[in-house]
Amino acid sequence: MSEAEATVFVVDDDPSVRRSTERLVRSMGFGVRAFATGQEFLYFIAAERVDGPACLVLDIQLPGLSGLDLQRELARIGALIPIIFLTGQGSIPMSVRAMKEGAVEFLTKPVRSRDLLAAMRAAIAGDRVLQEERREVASVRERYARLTPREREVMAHIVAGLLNKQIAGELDASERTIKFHRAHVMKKMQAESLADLVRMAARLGLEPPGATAPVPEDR
Amino acid sequence: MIGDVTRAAIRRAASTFALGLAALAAVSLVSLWIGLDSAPTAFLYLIVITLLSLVSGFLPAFLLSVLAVATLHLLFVSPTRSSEILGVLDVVGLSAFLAVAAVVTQLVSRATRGVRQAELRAHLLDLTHDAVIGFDMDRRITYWNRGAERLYGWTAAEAMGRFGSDLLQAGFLDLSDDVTGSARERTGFWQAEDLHTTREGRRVDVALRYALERDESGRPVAVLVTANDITERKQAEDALRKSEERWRAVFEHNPIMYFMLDRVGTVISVNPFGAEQLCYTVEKLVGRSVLDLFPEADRETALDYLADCLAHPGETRSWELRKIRRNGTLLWVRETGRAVRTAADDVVVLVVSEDISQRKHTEDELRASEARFRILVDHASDAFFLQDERGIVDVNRQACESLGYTRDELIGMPATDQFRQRLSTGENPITYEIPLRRKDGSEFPVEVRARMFQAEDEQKFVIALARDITDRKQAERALQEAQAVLTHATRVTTLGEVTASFAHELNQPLAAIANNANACRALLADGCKELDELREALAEIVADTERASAIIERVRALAKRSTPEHAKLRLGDVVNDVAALAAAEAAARHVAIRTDVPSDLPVVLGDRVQLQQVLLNLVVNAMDAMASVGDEARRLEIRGRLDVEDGRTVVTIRVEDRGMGLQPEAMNRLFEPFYTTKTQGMGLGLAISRSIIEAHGGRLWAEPNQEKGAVFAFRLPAAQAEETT
Repeated sequence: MSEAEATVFVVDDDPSVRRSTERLVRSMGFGVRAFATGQEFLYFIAAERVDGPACLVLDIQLPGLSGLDLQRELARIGALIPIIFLTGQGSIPMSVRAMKEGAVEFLTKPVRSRDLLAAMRAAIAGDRVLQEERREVASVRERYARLTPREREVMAHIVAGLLNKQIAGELDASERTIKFHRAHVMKKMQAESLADLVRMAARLGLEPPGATAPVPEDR
Repeated sequence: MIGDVTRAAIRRAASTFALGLAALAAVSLVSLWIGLDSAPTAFLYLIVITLLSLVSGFLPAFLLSVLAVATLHLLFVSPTRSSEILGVLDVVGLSAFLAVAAVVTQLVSRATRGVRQAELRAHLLDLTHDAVIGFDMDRRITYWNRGAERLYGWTAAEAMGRFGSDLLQAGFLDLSDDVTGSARERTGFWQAEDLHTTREGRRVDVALRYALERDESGRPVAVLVTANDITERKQAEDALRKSEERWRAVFEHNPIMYFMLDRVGTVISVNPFGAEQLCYTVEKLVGRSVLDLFPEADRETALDYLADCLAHPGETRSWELRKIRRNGTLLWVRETGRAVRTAADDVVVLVVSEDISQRKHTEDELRASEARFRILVDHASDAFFLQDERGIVDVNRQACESLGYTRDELIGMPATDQFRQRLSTGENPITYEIPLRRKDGSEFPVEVRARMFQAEDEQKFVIALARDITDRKQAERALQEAQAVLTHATRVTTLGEVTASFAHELNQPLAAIANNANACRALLADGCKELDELREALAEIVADTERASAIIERVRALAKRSTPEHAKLRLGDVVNDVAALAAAEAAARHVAIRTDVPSDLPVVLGDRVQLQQVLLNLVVNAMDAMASVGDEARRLEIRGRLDVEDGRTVVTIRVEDRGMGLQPEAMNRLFEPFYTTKTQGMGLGLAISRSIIEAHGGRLWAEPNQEKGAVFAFRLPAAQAEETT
């Protein structure tokens, strides 16, 4: 797991702070992209596709579009990137709001490099996991999409913990038929065990039978 | 002398006698020649003798008569040339001749003498200075002597025959007067005074003496008048009389007492005023001892003075004593006495005595007043100095006490140059502050108020009042101190409003430094593969360090307490300082600060920190004013420009906001201390700012901005080119 694959974005209006942060992050072995304003970063993120894990080191006090404004804007467009806030004068309401919005860390300037490194590593690791998970979910959803409606009904009952006989009773079908569907579901979903299928169902956010299946979020 | 006269008379007599002899000889020869007989010859001789007696005295004529008889006998009586034969007839004839000759001679001699005497008398009348005029009984002038000519101007020829009353316009010989009439009847002499008019028309006073001449039967035939010009005498008499009257008045009515005392002090004479003053009458006082006029206690002294006068007659002595009136009241008198020798060879003492009670009273009052005044001056809390151009003339007690000198030490000390110099400006009175030095060398500040004035004798004096203002000075210093503290406090308060974001501002370079340093460490740990990166990082560390210290310095300068400077400075620099100080706060408040100050504005004289304080205060106020308006509108502009005010070049700095603007009622009270529209703050910022600007010789004011908001502006005079820092 090389850190070079990961990208750290830096947004700070102060040129010397921006340059030094850029330099520090680079010295820690990360790829770095720095921006003077939140607007610039927004343009970038909308236009470019980011491969690999990433995080954003963001000065909370920015002229024009502030740090918190940028955070909200990123959330609005679905750019889910972990944010490490840097602040000259941390105030509790400000940090609370930032954390509520999903910030991973809130560091006070001048930041200790150890803290910054740890925060960045954590953020990137988190982002990596998140990205894995997102990929997993996408794959499960893909497989799920291939199930027939009857198979989806059967799967819902399976993950709810019902036996074949019970499912047959519920669905007004023969136990054999249910057994057949079950084998298909397990195969199509590439589930190795019932537990595996249950986990997949959780990822898909499947509700117990009777409830309307929610539309999973997409990245 | 008498011998001379006699000799001259004898000589004259001898010469006339010789002339007679010659005439006798000539007649004799003529008679013999023509053969006359004795009778005609005798007649001729008689003629010669008569003529001789006219020019000479009786004796030569008589001697010539005897010679004539002898000649007749020898030559003309027969027998001729015989002297022996003398007939009886001849003797009778010769004797008759001699008798006739003697009688004629005697008669002629007497007549001649009478005429001479008459002439001499007339001549004498001419010689007299008096005017002598003769009248007949018709009042016509019959005689007019030289004196009359001199007195009246008319000559004798002109006056003779005129009526005296016409000529002299006077009632001459008015014999009807009874008084003179009786005297006239009795003695034939009388006198009168009259006013006559001279030929020139001048009126003269004349004294007239009349003499009536009567004939044998006693009938008046003529009047002789002697007139004397008494005009001058009359005037002198008049003057004398008036003088006497005046002196009498002086003596009797002068409000001064005159006494004449005898040797033992008895009053011989006193003037009515003197007596009256002492409640006596003149009669009652005369004869009394003068000692009665002195109170018991002063009598001995009075006697001493009297004795002193008597011991030095002719010399004047003066004294002041009390006198006692008959009613027992006292009066102060100033007396001058002198002993004078009288005609009777006695000595009297003349004393002039003047009532000076009023003066004494005034003097006492004056002394009392002076004493009171002295008390007033001596007990005044201010030091008094009376000075003339040479130096100190007098001082009061406070002056001595405050300076530690005695009065005698202070009197005569020279006036300070500064003092004189100030007075020479003509300003009067003057007030100034100056330190005074005590005798022990210590100094204390005084406020001097001095006034020049002229005494009655034209001499110039200066009265100077010096008030110890040590306490006031201390209070002033304390006030200044307090003011400085307050100024500083408001400055720090203002600074506090902008340095809330100061930490953030300072954090920027610190963060950059930390980042760069950490990067360096990481780079070093990596084996120094990227030297350029390392070098760059270090350079940035240095730059950020400087940046951080500049920020600190800027705030520190404003926060520290320092004595105000008076140096040349550019207001553009002040604007930049403040813009930098306020930048972070402005960013935090989303206020855009724009500055527009030309770089070529003239410099001003002032204290940079204080002016920063003023401007920062205005900027913070402006930002506060815009707190409630939308972000877009939060624009603050600081403009500088050159103006001319009252002919002076001034620099104006305007802070323009687009905030809420000023309420008209707030406008009037903005600069009052403790007036504030903010929830926080003491309301001192603008009051202090205005006092700072005014202390710089400028002014600070507020006005509405053109569209929206307010403008706060101040104006300072440009420094003169020649003024040095």
